[in-house]
Amino acid sequence: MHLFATLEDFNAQLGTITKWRRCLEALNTVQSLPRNTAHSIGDSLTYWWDKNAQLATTAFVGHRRYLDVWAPIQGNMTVELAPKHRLQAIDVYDDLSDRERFTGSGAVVAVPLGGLIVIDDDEASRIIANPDGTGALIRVTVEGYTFPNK
Amino acid sequence: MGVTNDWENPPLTGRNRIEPHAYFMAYENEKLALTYSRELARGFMQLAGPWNFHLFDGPAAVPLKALSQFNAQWETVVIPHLWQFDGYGKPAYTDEGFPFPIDQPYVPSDTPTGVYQRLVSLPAIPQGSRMILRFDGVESYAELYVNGHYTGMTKGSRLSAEFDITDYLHKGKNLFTVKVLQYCDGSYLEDQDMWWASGIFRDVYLIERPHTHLIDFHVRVSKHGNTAHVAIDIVSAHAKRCTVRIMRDGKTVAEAPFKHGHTCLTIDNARFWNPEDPFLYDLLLFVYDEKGLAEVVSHKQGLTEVKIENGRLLLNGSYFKMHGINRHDHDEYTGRAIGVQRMRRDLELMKRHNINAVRTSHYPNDPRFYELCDEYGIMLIAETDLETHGFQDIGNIALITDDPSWEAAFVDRIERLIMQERNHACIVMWSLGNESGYGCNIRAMYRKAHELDARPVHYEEDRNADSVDVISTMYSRVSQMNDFGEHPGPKPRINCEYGHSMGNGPGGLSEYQQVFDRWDNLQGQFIWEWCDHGIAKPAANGHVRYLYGGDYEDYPNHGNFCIDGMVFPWQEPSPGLTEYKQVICPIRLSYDTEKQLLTVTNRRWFTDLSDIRLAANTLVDGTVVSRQELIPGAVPPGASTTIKCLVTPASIGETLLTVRIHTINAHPWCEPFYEIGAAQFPISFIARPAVSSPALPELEALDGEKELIISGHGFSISFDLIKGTIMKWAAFGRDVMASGPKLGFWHPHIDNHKREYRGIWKPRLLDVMQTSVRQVEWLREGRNIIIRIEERIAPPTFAFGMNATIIYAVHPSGRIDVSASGKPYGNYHDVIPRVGITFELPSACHQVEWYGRGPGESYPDSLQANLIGRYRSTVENMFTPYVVPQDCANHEGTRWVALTSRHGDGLAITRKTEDQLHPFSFSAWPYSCEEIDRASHLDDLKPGETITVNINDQMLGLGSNSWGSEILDSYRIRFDRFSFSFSLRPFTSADLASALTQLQED
Repeated sequence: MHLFATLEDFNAQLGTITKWRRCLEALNTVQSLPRNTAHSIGDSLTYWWDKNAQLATTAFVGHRRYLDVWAPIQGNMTVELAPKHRLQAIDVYDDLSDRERFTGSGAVVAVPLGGLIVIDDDEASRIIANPDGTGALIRVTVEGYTFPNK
Repeated sequence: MGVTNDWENPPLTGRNRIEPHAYFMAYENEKLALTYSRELARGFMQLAGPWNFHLFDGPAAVPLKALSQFNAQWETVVIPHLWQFDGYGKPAYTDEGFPFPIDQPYVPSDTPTGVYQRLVSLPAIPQGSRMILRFDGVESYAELYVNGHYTGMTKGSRLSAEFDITDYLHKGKNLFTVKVLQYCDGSYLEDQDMWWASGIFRDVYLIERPHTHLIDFHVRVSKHGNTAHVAIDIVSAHAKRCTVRIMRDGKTVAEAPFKHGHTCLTIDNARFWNPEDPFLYDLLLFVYDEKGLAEVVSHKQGLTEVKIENGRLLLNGSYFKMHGINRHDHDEYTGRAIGVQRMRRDLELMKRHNINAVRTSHYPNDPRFYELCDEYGIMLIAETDLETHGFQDIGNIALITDDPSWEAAFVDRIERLIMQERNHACIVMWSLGNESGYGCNIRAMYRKAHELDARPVHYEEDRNADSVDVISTMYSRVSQMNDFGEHPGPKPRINCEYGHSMGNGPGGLSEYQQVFDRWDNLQGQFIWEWCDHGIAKPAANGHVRYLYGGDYEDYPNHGNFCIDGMVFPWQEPSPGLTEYKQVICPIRLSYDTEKQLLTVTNRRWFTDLSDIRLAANTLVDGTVVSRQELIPGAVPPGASTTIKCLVTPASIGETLLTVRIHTINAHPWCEPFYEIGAAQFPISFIARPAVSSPALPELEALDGEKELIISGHGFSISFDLIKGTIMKWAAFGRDVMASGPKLGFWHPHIDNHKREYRGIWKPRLLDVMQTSVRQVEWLREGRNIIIRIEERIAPPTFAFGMNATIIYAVHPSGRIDVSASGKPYGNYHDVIPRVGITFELPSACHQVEWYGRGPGESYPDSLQANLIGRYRSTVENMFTPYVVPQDCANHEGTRWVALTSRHGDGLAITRKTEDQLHPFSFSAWPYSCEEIDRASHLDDLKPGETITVNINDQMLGLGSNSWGSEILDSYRIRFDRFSFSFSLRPFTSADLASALTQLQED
């Protein structure tokens, strides 16, 4: 997990890497798009925004080929997360959605408005419905050896 | 730069070119019109054929007299052609970069410039007639001179151009001269991923238009229940009156006069066009002058209406999905100058492989291609001639796309396409081009497109669908497409390129298809791409070498990135196309073993299953033991039915149900009872019990200092105690192996693994791992002899590797069980190509029989098309002729494989008795791994004295990440702990029973 209090911090650390730069681009664009409508930037990421209550899940959700990036866009966001190996799997990994779901409990992290959190691929997370607000989910590829696509 | 050259002036898209209009032929009477023969059209004169030709070093080098005087001494070329393919200069291949310095709109002053000349004998022109010279494709800039007079100019390489040359013609011989520049300002708009080559590459012909004639027509169809309303607008010259007749099977179904150039007809009980039933009416337009009939124009008219309602594309009111492919024009001998027979075979191959849509990437095709798509039933994303990809290399792909000074050049390209092809039923949407960024000129193109036609407009780089009607991405991964499905937008979506088919692959198509099938807003997917762009170069020895980027010393180049099709350059399907056929098979089957019910689901969009017959075969150990025909009946689109399908499990062995799906209908693309797909279901498996071994003598062992010789009943095995492998194995008086088994993790590099190769494997030298044998020991265990080898397999210069143990158990019957296990050390745990053993057999053992997936090659993420059965082939025939040699011929799901001589002497490979339920994969090549890796072209490979056999416990999936999707997580194998075993069983006289019988020898 990597928590960034501000987008400036995020940009300073990762802004030279295409997929992370596109992450900032997505955050700049996302509010101009219809709610709960997935869009993409290149092959790097997909992204959409919704109310926290809609983004919230009962189960922890983990991925293997994409990293979840949660960013509040109105109000704050609360994320509960844990290493996958400390959780109990409730279904098998699915290539079609790049998802695996878990139960258990983890650390609760508040993500401030203007910041974001990156969930690693050995972790799973879930959004807590409260506080009220809206947030963006950006799913960023783990591909990184080379990234020639648009 | 004081003078503006026409070829460096973007707003100037042509001079004296006739305004764009529908492509059609006109005839003197109705019967001639109904032949649809171009040759029988009024005054049609084909001018393709021999022309005199000379190539100059730039437009300034062309002397004026070359444009006005016939030069008999010039060489002759046969057009359509691309002059580089005839030896004038050389083709060059880049995927995206311009092959000249970027200085738009300027191009090199020495741009190759070809001048064509032909003397054409013409009769006197009939009074009042106009003579039109038409080019269907000239790349990239053409000036026309008739009898020395400048007549006109055109740009837009793959867009037709017509010139009225009447005023320059006379009775008798006329000199036609065409000056063609390879590059012009239009080249900045034509940076598609293909060979750079130029010339008159499509037909050129003369047409006579009488004083009174049709100029244009535009048909629009709307569906109201079973009734079609057909609105037609025409533009004519000097016509007294015009009428239209629509006929079905020779009978008139509607007829009407035009009033003020417009009419509307009604067809009751209309048979609407769709890709599954591409019915075409005869539409005849009659043009009259004062004396009577002046001409008849015929057009095969399909009735279609494409709409978007509630965010879904509808064809004639029905929801549909496009299972498509991106198609370039390509012929291995003539490049983009393809003949109509090549087009026809392309479409037949597509239909035979369940493909229902084509994106004309990335330019308009020959006008006859659209007619063929109407006829065969292929939906089109009709794309225009546009790609500015090379500007990406200077950091702004949209540099001219968002520059208003280029607007006319952009808009001209969509206008000419739509005006020419908008009467075709097969076109379900227009596409503004490819990979050109987004900007004001795209918006202008969109506006023009809708000014001319109501059908939806697509353009991939408008990724948020700011303008376009259909949102699109390319190479979005499986789970990304799932995201788009789970979170749909207000517009339909397609994936306009995916499944990059470079070399072996693509893998993962099945998972993609599951996602496409799952979500309604995903309405089409298009494989990249149809055909390899290899160029055939015959050699003196009769072989043909297929060339790609760099083979013409073209630099810079993108190598074999143009060898990325599902069809080989010689127009035969690759394994990737076979896989795609099965993945998109429109009939889905499932089987309930308990209830013995077969569920048949119709995934067609427009037609029922009344033509479908199912051949349900019961197989025991790969052999068909019973067959039944099942008839699903008229199951409507989207619906399912269940059929009782009784299968009796065999009392012993493996029972499978294979259902093959046939259509009983004949089509222009298939014969009756053509197989359109198949499915297979496991029924039961009851292991055959082991049999007591016959009385066999005890094994003898002779331990030399460096060698252990084991002798038994009719065989002897020499183990190298230094190298830890079989040195010599003789059985029944012949050599069983040419070299002993080696444990390994590498196979010949495949294009779809190049990201892994460049990013992680090559930097860590995984392709040159070294084996160091640390310990070899042997012992007797019961009646068997056990040899245990400890070895380390690791790359040079690094401190990681695999500590491996290989155990050979030699039995009195001559069977050898091989067990291998490994434990990695160091810091590498990422993906690897395979885990398996490799050995060599004498070249005589080239007959192959196996029980597993076949008949074609299969990989873990590409195996839907190859069902489990018992197959025979030869090592030579199993080797897939990828233009760039790479790993191939793998067969998943193998229960056993036997390689024998023609007399049936050979070696069978199985799992060990206790491990029968875990199939393996194998491949056999007439070359070594190193030879395949070294070869850059297929003809570099020369069969050796031995056969390489790979027995794989684990294989990495293929993916399609030569450009696109990485290997899905479930198909990734890693440098991790492993353990597996095989049995090697020599046999003779084709007595497979002896090899496959499980003997109790332990």
